[in-house]
Amino acid sequence: MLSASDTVVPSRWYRLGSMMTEATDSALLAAIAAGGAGRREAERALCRRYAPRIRLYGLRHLRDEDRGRDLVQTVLLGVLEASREGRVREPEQLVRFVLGTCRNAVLRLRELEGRAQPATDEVLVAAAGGEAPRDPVNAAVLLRCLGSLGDRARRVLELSFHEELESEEVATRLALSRGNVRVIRHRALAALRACLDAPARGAA
Amino acid sequence: MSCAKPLSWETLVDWWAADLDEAGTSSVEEHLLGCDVCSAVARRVAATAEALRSMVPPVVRPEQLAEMFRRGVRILENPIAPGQTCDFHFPKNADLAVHVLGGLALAPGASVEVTLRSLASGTVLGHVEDAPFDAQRGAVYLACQRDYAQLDHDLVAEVRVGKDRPAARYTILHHW
Repeated sequence: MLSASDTVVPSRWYRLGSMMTEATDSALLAAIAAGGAGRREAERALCRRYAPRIRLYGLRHLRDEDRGRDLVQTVLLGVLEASREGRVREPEQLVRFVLGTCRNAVLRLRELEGRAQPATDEVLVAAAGGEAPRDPVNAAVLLRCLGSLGDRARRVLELSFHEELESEEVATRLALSRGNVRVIRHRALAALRACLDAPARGAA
Repeated sequence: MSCAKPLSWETLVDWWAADLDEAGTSSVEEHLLGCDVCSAVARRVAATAEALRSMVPPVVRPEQLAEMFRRGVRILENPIAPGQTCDFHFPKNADLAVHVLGGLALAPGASVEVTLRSLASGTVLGHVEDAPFDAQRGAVYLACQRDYAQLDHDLVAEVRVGKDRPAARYTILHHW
């Protein structure tokens, strides 16, 4: 049988976590800088908020999931250390601070051409392994969905995202204007996404 | 959760394809780092583009195959001669099977077209113009993945070298 205190503690933790999740960046930074009992929860909330966004940035610039995870850990570690020491001078500009840290970390990772030292902080490790931009796509469904696009749209997608050619080069190869390539590309990618999201229809 | 000035799908695709100037890229990235709504849409763009980047195309280049092998992908080769009908069982211990469509006279720079048809209906399942090939080995590499079990099991691959030449036909009966 639970005692009165047993029921109170989880409820208080839930409220604290929930409040932190909804808190502004400035409030989280203040809680982290103040230290004490609220610091850890504020740090968790900050990591939960920024990890998926940093990971997306990492995948865009590093094109590698593992290195993207390393970037999340490196950037969050830098942001948390700066926050603990009260070095984020304009808390309302935390986004810019994170962006600057991301840029520097990507440059460093590229210079090292290898993996950053993995952080051991459990908060960072958990945050880095969070929501992934990738989702597993069935190869047959992808093939079928690509086949449902027109020849030109399929070629634009293959050249842009599989062969990773710049739009200028795609335009030259397919005798299109660069503007045309961009329009075809975003329309075709939207159509492909819609098809992948409707596997039952695609399999029919 | 809402966003007062959501980024368009077009902008996000341009961003992912590195087709924005420096100022545009900065502006998009600053927005994404502060916005859950647009980050969620950007993740859909990213997931779709990444699926394309990492896909194994139906006709695979020799160097791509070598790179996959180097990365530890377990690849099984299944050599087939022109005109042959081959029963193929996808092995449990392979990640990828490659039907080696051989017996072709392939000079470097040759124009090669590959058409895949359903054996039962004759429907075109796929067509690759300017298909890559291995000139030294005289072969075209047709990639076959376990996920393809849900496609037509029996197919005919037609390989045409040069526009006016007859196509070499390879019939593959898949058993999953």
